[in-house]
Amino acid sequence: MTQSVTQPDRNAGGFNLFSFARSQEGVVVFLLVALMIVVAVFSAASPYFFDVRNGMNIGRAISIIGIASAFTTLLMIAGGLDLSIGAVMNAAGVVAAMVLTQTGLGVGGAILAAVAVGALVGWVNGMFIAKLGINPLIMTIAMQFVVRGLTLGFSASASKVIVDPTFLAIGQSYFHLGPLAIPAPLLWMLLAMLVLWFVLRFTLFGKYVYAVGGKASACRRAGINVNVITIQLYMLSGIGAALAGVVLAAIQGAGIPYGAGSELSVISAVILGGVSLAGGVGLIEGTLVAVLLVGVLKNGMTLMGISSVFQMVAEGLVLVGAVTLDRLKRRL
Amino acid sequence: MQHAETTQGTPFLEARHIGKRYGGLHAVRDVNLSIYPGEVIGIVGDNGAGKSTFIKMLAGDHQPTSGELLIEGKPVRFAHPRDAKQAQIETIYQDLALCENLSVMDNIFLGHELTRNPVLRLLRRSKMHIESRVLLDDLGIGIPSTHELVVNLSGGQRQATALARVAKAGAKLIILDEPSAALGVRETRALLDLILRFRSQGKSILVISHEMRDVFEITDRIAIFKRGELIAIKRTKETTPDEIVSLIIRGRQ
Amino acid sequence: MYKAAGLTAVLAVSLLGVAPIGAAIAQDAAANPTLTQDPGNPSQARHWVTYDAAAGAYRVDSSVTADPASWSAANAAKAADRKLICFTAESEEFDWDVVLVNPSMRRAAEAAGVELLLLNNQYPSTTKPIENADICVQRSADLVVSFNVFSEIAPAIMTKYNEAKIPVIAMDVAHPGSVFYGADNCKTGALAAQFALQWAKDKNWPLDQLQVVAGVDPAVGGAPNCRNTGFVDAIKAAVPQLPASNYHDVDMRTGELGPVAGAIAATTDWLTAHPDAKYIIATSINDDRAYGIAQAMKQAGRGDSAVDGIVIGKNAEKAALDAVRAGDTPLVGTVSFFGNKYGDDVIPLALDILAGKPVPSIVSVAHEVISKANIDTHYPQ
Ligand SMILES: Nc1ncnc2c1ncn2[C@@H]1O[C@H](COP(=O)(O)OP(=O)(O)OP(=O)(O)O)[C@@H](O)[C@H]1O
Ligand SMILES: [Mg+2]
Repeated sequence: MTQSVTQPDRNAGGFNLFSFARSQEGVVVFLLVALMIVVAVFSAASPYFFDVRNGMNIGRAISIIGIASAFTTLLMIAGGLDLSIGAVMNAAGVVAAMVLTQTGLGVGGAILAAVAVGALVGWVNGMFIAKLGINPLIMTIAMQFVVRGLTLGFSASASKVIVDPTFLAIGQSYFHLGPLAIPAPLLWMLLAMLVLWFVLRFTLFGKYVYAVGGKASACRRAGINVNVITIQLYMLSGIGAALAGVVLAAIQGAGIPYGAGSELSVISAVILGGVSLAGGVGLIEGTLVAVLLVGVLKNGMTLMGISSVFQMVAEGLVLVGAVTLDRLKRRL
Repeated sequence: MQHAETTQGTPFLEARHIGKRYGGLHAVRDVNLSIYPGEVIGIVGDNGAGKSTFIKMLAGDHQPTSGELLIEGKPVRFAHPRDAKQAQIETIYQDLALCENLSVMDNIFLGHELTRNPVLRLLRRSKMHIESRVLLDDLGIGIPSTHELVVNLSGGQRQATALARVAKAGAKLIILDEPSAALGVRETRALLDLILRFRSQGKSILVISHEMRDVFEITDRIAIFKRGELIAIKRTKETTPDEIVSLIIRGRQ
Repeated sequence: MYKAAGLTAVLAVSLLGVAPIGAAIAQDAAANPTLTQDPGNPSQARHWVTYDAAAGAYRVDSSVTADPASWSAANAAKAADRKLICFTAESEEFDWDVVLVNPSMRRAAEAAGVELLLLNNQYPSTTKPIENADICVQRSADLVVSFNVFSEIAPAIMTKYNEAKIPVIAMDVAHPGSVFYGADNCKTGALAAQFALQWAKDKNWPLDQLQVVAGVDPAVGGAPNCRNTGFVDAIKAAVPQLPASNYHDVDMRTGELGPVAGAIAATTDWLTAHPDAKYIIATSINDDRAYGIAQAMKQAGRGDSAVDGIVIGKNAEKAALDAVRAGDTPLVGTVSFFGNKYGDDVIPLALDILAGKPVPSIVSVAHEVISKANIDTHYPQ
């Protein structure tokens, strides 16, 4: 984040392996190496793994978690936490499906309504956390209950089936790039990550995300409106969850009010990617590689016939391993 | 005013009966102080005397629980540090208020970043690095790289970074809370020169310090705090370090 | 044999003289097997179908008029190369799957010499079944047995298999364009009601004072919910004089407590709110909840099956069978559809489909209430 292309500084430069290993870029490189090792192992272990179509399957499987994690990465870099993601996803899917089937607003209207729901939930989270200083963990868990209850209530606990082909295409179509058929959800995830990567790296808002995560009081004293940024970040997290929910509804062909919440998968991916819960550090690249790593692990183990029970164990161990390494490397 | 001195014109900032309570604790009580343009005021006092609390109210970081503030004769309320900055007041806090995860340059420009494109507000990184470098050289501050993260800096370098941030913002009142606490001999010299340069530009300076020599070298007046109260204001020329020290220790004679 | 299973189911129902629908099927099945209404899906006709591999779809086979004698799993297995059957299991967590269905599939596949790829749909995930469909397609499975209980995502799943031209057997919850195998949810409810009414009559309970309790889970969706509504509807039909206020839906959705403890908590609250309720006949969507209801009644000191009430579960899972055998709780019966024999039906069915033979579009399993009277016959110790 801090290494810009131009180096006007006469004393800058000089590569230091230790400080690189400690930096957030170092985490990404480490994860990439781990990813390559895992890919190599699975390629050797299963004849079905190293295959374009399987790659696309992995891409589609990680896309929902990927979209939501990309957005909430910003929030977590700024020291926030959002556990209402899963509930918002379901709410957004149901709202999109209901708008689609019960109004004439069309696909655009359905997506907008879903995004509005996500933004609203994020705004409420942000207001209470920023203005009243409520603990984010408590606040967003509370909102998770509220949103889940409202979703089940409004939908009468019934899934809303979607038949609109345009909407379904969001989740079920492919983009053909030469011989490659890229599943649309994968593309949405990459697009979201690209945009957010740009925001984090090049814009003032991105700078403030890191600054607020570093020391919010210092930002306030520097005249930055930390409350506004915090609220915006919770809204972004909500919007990300809503977009993930829209794509999910399109993949499933239904807005499902009671699907299993995925916030813990999202948050553990972000942490695996190098974002610390204390805030201040992290990169979208890290989240991307982490989401890929988890997706590849699950897929490879499935193809090898390893029971999903052990996959859960493995997922937990990978996270523990990552945060342990993160602690250890600070002693470098 | 209770400690009125013969100072001319409208003060840039005037504190009237300013007080601050933290629950049952009266950290600052009934402080009256006027700060005139081109004047350097030193604030001295024991640990916990309320010096930092007082200047935080001037900086908009805390809100007074009593009294009022006037800028150039007009009453103001600072609800946020931003309001004080808009009123041309810049502050270096005792804890420096730096984002340690960011670079020297980022901290120098924090809240004043140079951007292009009003919609995307893209950071002009290289320009800011160049300006930071110039600024640091100008201040005679020894920081090797503006890319360096603050977390990797020494205490003095951090203080220098905070100083550079204030020097960059062209304020009318500059508040410094123990700015030389971690500085080396050369850097302290540079700091004192900087303060004198600010004064010659007609800026007001409020500096909290425990260093009597420095206080006597650069200030025009010295305000003595004891247990939350402003017990005396002395013209530097008309007092001695011994008198100030005895005021700090024994209080009002 | 699945065709035997289908027929025994029908026969068992008619012999017990249960519901008029049961009898109707029995007659239909005997007279005209090509077009039989399925009681669970009245709108859906039961046909004989063969899989058209070129088109990637089942075709109605009107040439079949009777149960072809040539059907034999052994023949099919011999004729086939080693086939890959992708089984997207409901879960690897719950008794029903771990103890009953999944092992039966593994056993039968091994016996028939087919390769079984078991993927966990991780109930209640609504995304895993779709991800697993992708994997089945990528592995070029010859046939898929989809045990996905969320009917709303069935179309999304079937789109993938149809594109890949893979024949599908849907387990327990119908998928459009597939062959259905499994329980008839509504029938399990009706059977439970039949049993409960018989119990009430035997014990001389006043029928117009019955308290009908259904442990519902709004999250399980329409099809399994018929295990409750089928129960309630059958009671309504048989005891029209029972007032509406004697019917109670108790919400037992799985919360943090899990299904059993959740059901205990919900039932305890209900019992507290109805201190004088006697002659309770309760059921739920599965044995976990039924077991929880029975435990709550027992803990409240209202668990005497001779006066306080009874519970009839679904699935014949281990804990429920133990309770039925012990007879010391109100859980006196559970509707079995023999999940431990699913594989014995499904694998031969799959091999017939792969061999291009006609098969029924809907294969219902046998359903039977397991009580103290017959438990040792079906589940010998
Ligand atoms: N946020 C706060 N909440 C409660 N009490 C506070 C707070 N900030 C300061 N105080 C108390 O107010 C009193 C004055 O503190 P202050 O920091 O203003 O002293 P100081 O004169 O700056 O001391 P030092 O020379 O050690 O920096 C102290 O007793 C301190 O404990
Ligand atoms: Mg202080």
